[in-house]
Amino acid sequence: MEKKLIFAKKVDKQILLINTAAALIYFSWWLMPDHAATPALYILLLFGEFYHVLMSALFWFTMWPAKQKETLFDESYHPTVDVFITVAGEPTDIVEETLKATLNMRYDNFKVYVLNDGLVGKKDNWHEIVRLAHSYGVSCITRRIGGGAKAGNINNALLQTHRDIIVIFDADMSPHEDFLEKTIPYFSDKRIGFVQTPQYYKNNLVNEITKGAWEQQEFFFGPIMEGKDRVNSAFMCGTNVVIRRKALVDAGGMRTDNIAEDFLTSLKIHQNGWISRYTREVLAEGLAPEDMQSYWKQQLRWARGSLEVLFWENPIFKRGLTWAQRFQYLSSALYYFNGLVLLIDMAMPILFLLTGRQVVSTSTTSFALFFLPFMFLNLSTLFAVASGRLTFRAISFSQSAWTLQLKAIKSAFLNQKMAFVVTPKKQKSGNFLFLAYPHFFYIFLMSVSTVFAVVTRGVDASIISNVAWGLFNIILFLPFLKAVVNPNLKPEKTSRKELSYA
Amino acid sequence: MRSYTFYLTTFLKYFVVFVFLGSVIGINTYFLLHQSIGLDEAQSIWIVTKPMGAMLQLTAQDVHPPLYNLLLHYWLLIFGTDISVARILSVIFFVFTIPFLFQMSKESSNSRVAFLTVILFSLSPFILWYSSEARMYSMLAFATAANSLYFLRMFRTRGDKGGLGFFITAAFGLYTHYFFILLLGTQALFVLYKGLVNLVSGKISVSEFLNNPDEKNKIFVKKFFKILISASILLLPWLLYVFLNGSASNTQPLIPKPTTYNIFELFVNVMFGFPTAAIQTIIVSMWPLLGIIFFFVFTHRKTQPLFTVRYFLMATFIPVFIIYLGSFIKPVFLSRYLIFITPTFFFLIAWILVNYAKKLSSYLIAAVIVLMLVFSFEQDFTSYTPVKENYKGVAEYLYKNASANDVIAVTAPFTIYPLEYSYNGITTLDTIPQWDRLQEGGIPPFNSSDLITQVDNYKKQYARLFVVYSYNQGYENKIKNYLDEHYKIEKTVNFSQGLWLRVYTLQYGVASLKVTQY
Repeated sequence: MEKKLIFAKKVDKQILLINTAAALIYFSWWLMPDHAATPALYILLLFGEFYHVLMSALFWFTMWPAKQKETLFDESYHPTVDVFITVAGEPTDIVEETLKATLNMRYDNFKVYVLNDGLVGKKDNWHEIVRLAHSYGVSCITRRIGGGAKAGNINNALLQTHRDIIVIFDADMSPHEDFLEKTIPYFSDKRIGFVQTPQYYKNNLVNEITKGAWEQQEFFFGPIMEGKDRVNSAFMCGTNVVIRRKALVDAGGMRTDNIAEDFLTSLKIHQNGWISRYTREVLAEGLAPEDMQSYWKQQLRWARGSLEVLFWENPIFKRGLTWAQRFQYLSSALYYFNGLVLLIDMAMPILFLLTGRQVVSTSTTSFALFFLPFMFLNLSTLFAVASGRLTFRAISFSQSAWTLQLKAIKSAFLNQKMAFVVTPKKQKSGNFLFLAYPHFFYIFLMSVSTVFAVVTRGVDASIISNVAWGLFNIILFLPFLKAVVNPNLKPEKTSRKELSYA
Repeated sequence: MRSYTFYLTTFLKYFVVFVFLGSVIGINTYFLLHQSIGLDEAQSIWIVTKPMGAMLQLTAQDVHPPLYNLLLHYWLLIFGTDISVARILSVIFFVFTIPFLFQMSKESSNSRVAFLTVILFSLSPFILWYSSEARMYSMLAFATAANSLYFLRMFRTRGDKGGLGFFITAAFGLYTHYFFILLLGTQALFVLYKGLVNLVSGKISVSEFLNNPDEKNKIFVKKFFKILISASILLLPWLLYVFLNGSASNTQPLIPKPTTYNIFELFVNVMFGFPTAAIQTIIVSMWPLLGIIFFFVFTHRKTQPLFTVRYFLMATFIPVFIIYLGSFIKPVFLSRYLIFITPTFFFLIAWILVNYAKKLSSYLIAAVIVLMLVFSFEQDFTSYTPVKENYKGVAEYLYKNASANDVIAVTAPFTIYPLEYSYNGITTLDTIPQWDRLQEGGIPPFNSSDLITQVDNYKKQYARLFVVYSYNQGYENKIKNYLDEHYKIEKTVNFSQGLWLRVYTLQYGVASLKVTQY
């Protein structure tokens, strides 16, 4: 079988240093007090720009070609393995496919368990799942007392199993035959706590949503996870992960106090001094959400879980982590703050158009001279590390997620309860246009503000610039809006999204 | 085997594009060839119609190398001194640029990109303007396109091909415009780029940098610098001549120090020519949308082949920033001086446009072409175009209204060239301050007491004073205020942006004779 790799390309240190210099020069512009025309708004924007520069710096830090700690990889090492397939109402045919693939893995010492949460989740097919497991001679652990969602399900199974290594697959993630052969040898190094593999979406060409979702995943499981791996900061992504039982037990099992249980549990394992590894070879294939609502809920869960860590388990103050690990966890959690910053950026043109109040006092072109090189270098670096595969749609999906990110910020900050919802594996029918109402409202508001400004003050350079900023935001939303309005694709002649093979 | 229909369709496609391009270029060129002479053009013609010795001396005292003046000298000797004839020389260089530009783009990418590069270049109102101006800028664009073609060919073949072409075009470019050296400097930087980056980052030592272990590369670098130095040496005799004959005199217009706005304005000019200040401001103010272009450029698509994006970026932007920064020492930031960035700039734009998804790409290309056409015709037909200098209109007005009893004074003094060329009336022509062009030492500085004396002298001899104001050299208001205060204003006429005329009464009761003029 051919080896499927997620793209990831290293960049030279010099390029990253040039980026840093451009970022510092750009940010220095914001530190000139005489540039502030309306101090309160200026400080808001300054906060936003600080966030952008900080996130860029953390990204370059992730991309920094650091030398990785060497670990053993002994192919003859064959510990005992428990494989958990977590099920919570997913369609039986999908679970069956995963089950078959799991049983088909080449390894001589593993046992498969179906962790059936259908009963506690009040899912209609829970009994079918039990029957399915038995028909394949596989143990089915069905919880009768709920709690802790997926993490609780795994923890329950932990108590009833005993093998050295645990493998977790979501119900839709079918492993390749060589999954265990490619991951277990890492555990010959006694310091290894867990090994994460990519979460490949085999349905990535189905529609605009699966495409967008995969393109985002591809970037995350490419340069980002590779970069995190270099500094021992790759974290668990809930599925396709192999964990040393001792590491998991030491961490108190899967953490049930966070909606993104995998993220927080990884942090605990790292705190305890274990090493993690990430392999970018695709070893299991699953399904991306096929409708916008499912995608949205999945993103919301990730955002909420990560922000919860930021607010209540801030990695910067965690003992046992290296500074590199602290920054990596911080970077992942801070990413979801983008919604708030984007809201500020989006509001400024509207405020100016409606009130005529300038935020900055210098000419817009002098600002451009500082901003454009920073942006150009940033994007060209992004392009380079992504081997040119990052798409405008992926960026659009990320930018358009500001509404869910705001919701996640609010709920995480107020520590509001949010249920763990399993991402549906099949397309839900319905109209999900409501998810794009805030975006359409922004377009409407920009249009009204523009007309208002032109009618009351005429056309001048500042008005045009602010309209252009508004348009900038709107254009970034377009692929997302297209996916919401009409997610289904026209059949393509050739697949552009096939992975590169090496 | 390809069918008959394929060949027919291809032929028709090329034919339509050719006819379209030909018509647009033809119409624009026709209008531009027939418009008023500009200051720089008149100065060129005045210089090149002198005997060879005087011509070289005047050229040395001016701000440009001599090749264009030499060519124009013989061109005018053969075909006559009409301004349209002089402009045709520039049109010829424009036409010559096209095959070189096409070849450069094709060798660096493919025919599709090359085709669009040529279309954009040919439709650019900026290029069309300077292709019909009797100055060296069209020749400079030609030199750049040809030089880039041979440089890239040399670089790609590691010096095996393109050496002779590179040498000839480098020398040609250096003798066309001094700023050509910026292109050659950028090429040198490009050739050494990787080595320099490694040296700065400490990956290699100075000796390793100087003794490149890559033998083939070492041979190429040596060859490149040999050619570059040889071409530069060819310019030395001229530089020595300039040194001996006195450097540039103060016959140049006052150029203000640039602002960041001018950098953006430059690219707006290159794409859309010279729209009115208001439209230009609107376009420049839309710069945030450049961010979206960056997003498009740096996200996934089926990219057209590109030999080296770094060269095109460096050759387009480095000279701009050098001239921008240098202009804080001596202001020289004029878009026409930077025409040599256009071949690489249009290539980059074409490459970006072709790389979008097919449908989007077609819409964007169509939109850009339509915009360029609109701005081209707007530039041709309106009198508000900032670069238009309607000396022809001034001359016609003077011909109709000024008599032998009147005097015409132009300020700034060097604007006498275009007026003198266009005006064939009998009224005395003078300058404020007064200037003897054949005397060494350039234009005398403005002095208020000299102005009073000069006008008092006029008052003794003439009935009316026609002052033609253009190219404010910092003293225009002083002249205007003095005359407005002391003499009756008869009329004020505007001809084009920054070019206007005011008629003053010097003596009352003296009949202004209108003599039939020949």
